Order: sequence, then C-alpha cells, then structure tokens
Amino acid sequence: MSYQGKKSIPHITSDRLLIKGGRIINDDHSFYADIYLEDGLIKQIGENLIVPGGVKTIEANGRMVIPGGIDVNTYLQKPYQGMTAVDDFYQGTKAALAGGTTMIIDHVLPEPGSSLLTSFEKWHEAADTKSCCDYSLHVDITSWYDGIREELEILVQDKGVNSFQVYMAYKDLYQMSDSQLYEAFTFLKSLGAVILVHAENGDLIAQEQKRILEMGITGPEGHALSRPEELEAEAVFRAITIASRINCPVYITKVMSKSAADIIALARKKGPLVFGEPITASLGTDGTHYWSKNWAKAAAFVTSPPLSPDPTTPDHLNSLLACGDLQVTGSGHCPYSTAQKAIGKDNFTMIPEGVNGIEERMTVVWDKAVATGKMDESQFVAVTSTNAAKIFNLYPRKGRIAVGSDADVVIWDPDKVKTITAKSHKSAVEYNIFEGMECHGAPLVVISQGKIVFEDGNLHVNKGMGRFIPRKPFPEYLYQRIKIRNKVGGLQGVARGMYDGPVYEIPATPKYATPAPSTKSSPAKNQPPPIRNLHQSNFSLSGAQIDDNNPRRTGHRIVAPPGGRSNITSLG
Amino acid sequence: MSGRRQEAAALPACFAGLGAGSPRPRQKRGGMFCSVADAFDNKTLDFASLGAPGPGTAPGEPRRAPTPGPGCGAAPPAELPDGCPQSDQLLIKGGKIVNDDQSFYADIYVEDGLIKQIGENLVVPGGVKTIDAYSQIVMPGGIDVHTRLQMPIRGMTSADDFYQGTKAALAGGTTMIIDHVCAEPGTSLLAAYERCRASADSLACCDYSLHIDIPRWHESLKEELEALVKDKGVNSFLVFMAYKDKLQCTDAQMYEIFCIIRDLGAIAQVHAENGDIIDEEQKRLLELGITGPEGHVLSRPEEVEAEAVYRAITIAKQANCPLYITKIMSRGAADVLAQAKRKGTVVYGEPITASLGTNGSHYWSKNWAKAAAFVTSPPISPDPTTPDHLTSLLSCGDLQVAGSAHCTFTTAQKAVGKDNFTLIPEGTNGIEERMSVIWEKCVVSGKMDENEFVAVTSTNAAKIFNCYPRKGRIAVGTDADLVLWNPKATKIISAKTHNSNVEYNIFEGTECHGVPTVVISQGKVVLEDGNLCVTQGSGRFIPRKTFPDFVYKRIKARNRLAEVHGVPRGLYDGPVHDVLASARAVAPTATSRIAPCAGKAQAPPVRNLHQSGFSLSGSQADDHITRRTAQKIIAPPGGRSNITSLS
Repeated sequence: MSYQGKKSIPHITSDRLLIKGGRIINDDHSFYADIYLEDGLIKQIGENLIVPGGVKTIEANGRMVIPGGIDVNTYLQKPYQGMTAVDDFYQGTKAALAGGTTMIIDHVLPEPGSSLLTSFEKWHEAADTKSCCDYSLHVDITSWYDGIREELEILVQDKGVNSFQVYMAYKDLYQMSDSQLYEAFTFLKSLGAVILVHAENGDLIAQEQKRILEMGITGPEGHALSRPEELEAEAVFRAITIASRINCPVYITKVMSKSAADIIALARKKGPLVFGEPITASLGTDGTHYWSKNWAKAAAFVTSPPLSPDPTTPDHLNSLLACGDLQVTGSGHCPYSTAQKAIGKDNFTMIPEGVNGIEERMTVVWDKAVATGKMDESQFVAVTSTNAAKIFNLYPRKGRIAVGSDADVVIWDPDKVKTITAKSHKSAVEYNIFEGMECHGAPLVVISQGKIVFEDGNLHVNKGMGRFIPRKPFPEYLYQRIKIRNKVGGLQGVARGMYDGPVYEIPATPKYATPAPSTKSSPAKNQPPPIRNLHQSNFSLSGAQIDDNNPRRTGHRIVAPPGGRSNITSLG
Repeated sequence: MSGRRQEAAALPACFAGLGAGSPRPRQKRGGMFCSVADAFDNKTLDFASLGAPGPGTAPGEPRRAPTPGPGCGAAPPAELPDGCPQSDQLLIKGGKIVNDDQSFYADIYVEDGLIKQIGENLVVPGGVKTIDAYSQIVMPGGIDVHTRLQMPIRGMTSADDFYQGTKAALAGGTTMIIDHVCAEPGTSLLAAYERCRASADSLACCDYSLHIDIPRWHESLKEELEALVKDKGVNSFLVFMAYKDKLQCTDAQMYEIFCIIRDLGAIAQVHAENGDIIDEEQKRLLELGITGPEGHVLSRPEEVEAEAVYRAITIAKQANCPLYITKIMSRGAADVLAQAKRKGTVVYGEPITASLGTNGSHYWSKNWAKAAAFVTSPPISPDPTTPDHLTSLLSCGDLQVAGSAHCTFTTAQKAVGKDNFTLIPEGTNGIEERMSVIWEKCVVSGKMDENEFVAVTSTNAAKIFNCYPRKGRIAVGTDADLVLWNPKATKIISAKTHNSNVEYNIFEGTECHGVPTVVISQGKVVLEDGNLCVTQGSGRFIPRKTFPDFVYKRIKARNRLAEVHGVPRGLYDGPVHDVLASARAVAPTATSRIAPCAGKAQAPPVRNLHQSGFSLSGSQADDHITRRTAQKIIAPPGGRSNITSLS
C-alpha cells in the first residue's frame, strides 16, 4: 500500500491563506468580501484586510465562496458478511473533498449484541488514521440490550456523539419493535441526542421478500418490488407518531420516495419536530434501473430504502428540499464492488446494500435544484451544510463563513459543466450510479482546515489529517422548542372525590360461557387481588321480589347497600 | 342448530344465488330491484312462477314460528302483551319510500316477512292490518354493523345481553345487528361462535349476524377461519392492533391473516390503535399518578389511532385485501382513510354513534361515573369539532357505514377501574341512539339527504357484508324490515327512557329531530305508538356469503393485474467476492446482514468455478494503485470481466 498522499505534502503550503474577491454565501445572505485564513480558522472577513506579507492569495474573481459541505450520512468501511464496503475512510473522504464536502458524519454500525462503545472506538481509530477531512460519528443502535443505557450515556457525555440511529427494518437483525422504539426515544431524548431513524416496515418487507423469491424473482428488481414506497411511508408515519408522543425530535435518514417525503412535510405542518434527509441518489436518479438487463448495473443501485421507480421522484424531492420541508442532504455513500454485490447474484436479499454519492452530492443538488431555479444559493448552502451543522450541533464552527469558524471553504464555480463517470471518480467502485449525468456547478478550490486540498482538479490530501469533531448534546436548533413544549405540555389528572358507589365484584367462577376470566382491556397491569369493599353488604333478598319482572336485571345482580344504590359520586 | 340452518337454506329461490358471484342478468319480470322499469306500477307477484314455494308455505312457516335453538327451549317468550299485532300481513299506506338511490311515494304490502308488493292501489286480501304512513318516510330498517352484546370480559359480561340489546336496537329503528364474537386468546373460534349463536338464538329479537374477532394469531386458526367461512356463514374477521400481550397482532401476522382472508373472500376488519405506544403511555400516566378516566384518553391520543389506520391500510394494500376499519373516532384517522381511498385502496371506515354524536371532553368530568361511562377505545376524541368532521366525511362518502359499538357496562362494573383507568371495562351505548343521532347531525343539519341517510345506516352495510339486497333495500322480495320515520317528531335521549341496562347514557339530554314511529321486523310490527312488543328469540341468524361483489370485484381485477415479473437476464458471470474468507477489517463475525427471510438459512456456499486460486506474490506492477486498499478481489488471470455479456 503506497501513501499517495505523502507525495503531495509539499503542495500544502503555508497555514495562511487569503481569498480575494469572492462572493461569500451563507445561508442567510451573501456579500462580497475577502477572507483571511490562519491556523485552520477564519481570522478576518472584509475588504482591504491587513494581512502579513507572503501570504498565499487565491483570486476568486467574483466566484462564490461557500462553507464546505457536510455529508451527514456515510457508511465508509461498512462491514457486511466479513467484507467491507470498498471505500474506506481514506478513499471515501478523498472523494468527499473532491466533491466539495469538507466534513462527513459517518455511521458506526455495531454487530447486533456487541458493545456500542467498542464499536465506536474501532471506527474512531480507523477514521483517525485514514480520514482526510474532519469527521464525526453517528452510532447505530442495532439492538436494545441491558446496559446500553450506560454506554449511551458515556458516548454522549465523554465521547462527543450526539446522534443515534435506530432501525425499523431488517427483521430479526436490527429491527426494533414499537415498544423498544418508544423506550429508546424516551431515553435518547433525556440525553439530548438526535434520533435518526431508518424507516421501513421490516415485517412486511420480510413477507414480501419471501413471496417474491417464491415467485422465482431473484434479480435486483426483486429488491425494489419487495420494498414498495408505501412501506417506507408507513414507517415514517409511525416513527413520527411515536416521536410526537414523546415530544422528541426525530430525523428520518434516507428519504427515498415521494410518499415518505410527503408524510414528513405534512407532519411538520402539524407541529412535530421532524427532519428529513434525502440522499444524492434519491435526488439525482430513480429506480427504473433495477430493471436493467445488465445485472451489474441493476445491482449497483441496490440500497434501502430503494430508489423509487417513479421517475418524477427526484424532481419532487428537490422541490421539497427547496421549500424547506426537507432540510439536509446526505449521500448514504456505501459502495460495494460488483464482485461484492455478486454475492447476491442468485438472491436479491443477499446483495449488499449501498450506493455511491459522497463526491457527487453537492454537484447533483446544484444541478437539480439551483440550476433549475428551484432554490437560490443561500438555500443551497443551507441544505448542504448549515442545516446539518445546526441539527448536529456543529454550528457555527461548521456550516458558516464567519470570523472564528473553521476554515472549511469551497470556491464554487456555477458554470463548470462536468460529466459524472466511473472513469474519473475518486471512489473505488467500478460503477457509478450517476454515470453519464452532465452536471452544472462544481468546486474549483476546496479548503479544509485552512489548507488547499483540491485545486485545478488535483487533490492534495494527507491520510489521517482529518480530526474527530465532538458534538455536544441538546442542540439548540432542536431542543429549545422541545424544552418549552415539555413545560407547556404537562399532563394533569382531574381532582375528584373518591368514587363511593357500588363496585361490581368479579365472581370467582365466571358466568355465562367464559372459560377463563379474560383481560380484554387491561393491557398493562394484572388486576390487583380484590379487596373487600366495605361499602358492600352481603344482605340480599330471597323469594319473589317486587322488581322481579324488571328485565333490566337479566344480566346479573349488583349487591348494593339496602339503602338503595348511589351510583353517582357525591361530587356530581 | 340444525333447524336454524335449514331455515337459512329455505330462502326463496330468488335469493339462492345472491351475492355468490356476479349478479345474474337482471330478470325483466319479477326481478327484485325496484329500479327496473315499471317496477313501481301496480302488480302482484306470482311467486309460484319463480319456482319458490307459494306464500304461506315453506318460506313463511319456519320464520313465523321461531324454532327454539338448543338451550333456549326453557326460555319462554318473555313478553307477549295482549293486543300486540301479530298478523303476518301488513299494508303500509301513503308513505314516502326512501332507498339509497331514490325516493318515491308508494304503498307496501308485506306478507310472510317479505315485501310482496310495492305500488299504488295494491290488490291485497281483506282484513289486512293497515298502517298509515302519510307524511312519514318509509326506510329499510337500520343495520348496526358493530355491537358487542353479552361480551364476556374479565369475568364480567357487558350489561346488555342479546335480548336487551336487540330490544334497544329495535326501539331505535335498527332491525339487524352484526355482533362481534370475541374468543379468549388461545381458545377455539368455532366454540366461541357456537356459544354466541346459542345465546343469540335464544335471546335476540331481531335478525343478527356475527363477526369473529381473531384474538391471537396462530397457524392452526387458519382451518377454523375456513370452516367459519364455508359452513357457518361468517364473512368478516376482526384483528386487533392494540391490547398488547393480549390480543395484539404483529405486522407480519396481520399480513398473513389478510392474505388468508383475501383468499377466502372475507372482509378484514381492524381495531386500529398502536398497542405498543398505548402500553408505554399507560405506564407513564400511572406513574404520574393519573388514575381517572382522563388517563384513558391521554394514553390513547388520536395520533396513535391515525398511525395504526395508516399501517393497516399499508398492510392491506400489500396483501391486496379489502379492509374495514372499525370505530373511526378521530379526525386524524378519518383523514388518513379518506386519503387512502383517493389513492385507490379498497378500504371502508365505520364511525360509531359515540364519535358522531358526542366528544371526549367528558373524560374530564368531575363526576367519575359520568367520565367512566365514556370510556371506549379508541377513545372519543376530546376535540369538540370531531363529530362535525366525521359527519361531513360520512356525508361525502369518505366514510361509508355507521355502527354503534354498543357494549355497555353498569357504573358498578366500570368501577372495577376506579383506581386505575386501564381496568375500566371499555364500551359505550349507542345501539338505540344510532339512527336518531345520525339523522340529527347529518340530515337535519343539511349535510346529507335522506337517501344518503339510508345508505350509511343500512344499504352500504348490507352491500359490504353481503346481505344486499335481502337487507338494506325496500324492494319486492326483500325482507320486511322497515322503519317508518317521522322527521318532525322530536325526542330527548335520556337514561330514564332508554332500553339499555345502564344507568348512564352518554348522549343524555341530546335532542333529536327524527324519530322512528313504527318499526317492522320480519314483517311484524315491533314498535308502534311508543310501545315495543318483541319476542325473545325471534331473531334469525343471517348467514353471509363470501366474495361480496361490492368489495371484491375490484380486488379480483387487481389480483389479476398484480402479477410481477422478473427481468430475464443472462447469468451473471463476473467475479464474486468470496464470503468465506476470514473476516476482514472491522467485522468480527460473518453475519448475514440482509437475510431477513426468517427461517431461510443461507445456502451453503457453492464452489465458484469461475474463480481461480491463482494469485501473485511479491511486489507487483500495480501495487501503487490505491483503489485496492480495502481488499483484493481474486479475479481470473485473464483480467476482470465484471459486466455480464448481455449488456
């Protein structure tokens, strides 16, 4: 293994940089100013800056200067059946930088049952030695076991993790039941974490997979057929329902279909704090390729939730992204080589899931949303970096060009036209799902930690120079509202006097035809043993009574005090 | 029991093939649809020519004298007050006949429990009892699609048994009920069905049919479902999404059940609430010290209902099974259902009297007994605009039928949960009030016309549950279940006057314009001048056939279309990553990540003949290519061919 990066160390020049004549775009406004970077931070912004001599100067010539992109969803080095995704942290972050993304948040995926902490350390170590850009880590909760609460607490308090993903799919593997979700959400809320949800109905997927395999469909189209978008929408709906019961924020990773996006948009209008993340693939392409005659091509698109076969989906998702109903973009980058995908050549359920997109993300969003007039440049910055930084509590260190922020800056050329192809991409896979797409807008210069890492199409990166960025819990962007709602939404009972009317005594031997006393409506508690009711009397009348003909009593008789029934409490 | 079945078999020939499949070509003469040309002209049907036994013989006889089922022999007709009109022949004169599609003025002649003639200046035998229906509306009797009479629960039985409950039904203008049979989890559905049949046969005063609740799914229940559908005249089954650890079904089980139900041609009913969330919320509320009935509604917020409705619809759509949501109680649930209908799902929604007529603000009543009387689930929504919204959806057809979910408990029974709201037995009254409440809220307010009223109170129910046109329509040859409705009369609902066994009526004090003045069940007058005269055990079990056209025509067509095809491809002949290789990188064990097909173990790896064991050692020409850092693919030495030849 050769360290290509080492050769390029001399290219990374001084720590001081001056970007002259750029148009700075933040998510709220844009203005013309020079930027002076030093020690990996933005030190000055303004015109006619006083800077030390000999500073390397970049002429932006009026081009846009934007905060570096933040890719909120990557699975570099994701393990699957003893192999790992072809892009490791080195290869993946290199691709990220080439596309204008200067920070990634990767997912730690522990084996079900294994400790979150150990897995976290493993990923941390791998990323520290290989990553070329700043990174942070989400931790996936693959099972809800005893002792996980302590581990989560440690991760949040000491390890700088503030986001955890739970799964509603992958039955018998990662899937959690609604009760577990409720428990997990409640606990994560108390920690002040961001709750990420992989939303698909795993029960139904398992059934559909069985059915489709029985029908003899084994190719990648079975993947899309067994995961129709209704199942995604259903799970999104359920996740939002659970979250809104607990009053916690919820973040849906990988919004792939129109119906799922619509559910999020609708829910946001009703109040629950919900965020949706479409990924490069769902914004840039569609799922018609699952029906490709070329197995390798069809398999390359396999990810879950799958890309929607509806060709109008990308347009719809871009519109929702533009209007703010969806907030952030990820890539879900997790490519497998064709040979790896071919493990599932006779059974689509075995195809490792994941598509590329880390490098193409910014360009695809620009091409589909900004170049088409759906969103402006500021909104582009918001969905590619600022919103992510706010949600995951990195703001304003990341996601903004301001004095004191990290010097992660991209000079963006909106006119550059680039054709995406596997021949020139930085990822290690043979097939690019955006193959042949002509995109407007590409990064000219990418600056990470104050150093130029991408210029004139050349990467100058260093393996392991990426830093782990710890994130604090209780991001204000989410939790301010939650805290207020907590205060406002307190539940209170009704103050009533004691009920002192007759109480039906459940007979020891059941009446009628019930074989055993059933418990239909007390789902939670066992009934307490009957306590002798002092208001009741054993007095009863024998023989024919005056009200014998009253048919009201046919069912059973209530033993009531001889003074007559008082079946309404005195407080009436 | 056998007597009953014979009786069901002895239907007039014109019903024999009804609802079994596509309707046969409509008969030009003697057809039972009055919408046929000249249907309302004066005419007298000659039933003998239709091949049915003559009037007064086989079809009429067993019906007139209720055959006592086993176990009801000892129960004498409880009430047969003198002066109760028992003649079998009736003439209803001068009323306005209202069906779901049209209204017209005509007289009706009823004989042997059937409508024999409709028209003006009918030729009828002398001495026939005549009912004056001038300025009144004559409608098909109501069908209450959801009741739980005599329901056993935790050693108690709901306060209204079949006698009391059906009496109340008749008093309110409902002439047929469909009751739910709720078996204990783990016990036989058939046995529960038989028990319910036995008590209903001996007690019910009006015709009835039965839904079966599926408490806990088990593979062996499949045969029972088949038996119930094939031999017992049941075509609807209810599954629960709530009541965790008791009755609740998982999504996978629901999918399985729905597939079976679809194949049997039955209707899948769903009690839609997310039991998992409710369970957690209940725990939380009890911990907070909230034990009163308000805890019931706080622990079952309407999102939880809407979520389950959405999920049920998703599952039913996947299984291509018709779905029927019982008890639509909230705006959210109704809206989800209405949206799904717009997308083409075959789904029906049933609001109940309680959700149409009142709201859940009473859960916060200071009077425990009053608050507890409203406890039902899903709970009545505390949002006071809910009844208005639901009646609007009912009027525009987004919701189709109205039930009552009548399942009453006395205050003493409710008081079992006086210290813990989760123990309060669930159920409200509504069987008697259903028709009046809907009339008041929908017709009087101008939301629907009288035809739609007939549709939602009886015709739609008859169509969905496949007893149309025997029930739910006034036409020659249909059952003589009729209601004379006086839209000008008013009545105030009160526990003092109602026919149910409970002390508290949740509609207490509601003033309703529109009252049934005469109710005719099986051709007999059971309500007249405010007097009920019913016969215990006179109600017949109405068996229902499978594959109701109203529901299944679309399902069948979609079944044909739903076939999916794979893509014909050549065999993939590129390199395949060797999974058996010792675990690399960070994955400690080789687990199957995406093998969600439970039960299907991964096939043992077959030796791939395309792979070669050949590999290079030492430094190579391409060592510096960083693409390979993750792992190396063992490829044939002739170079990789990773795309199939078919491209």
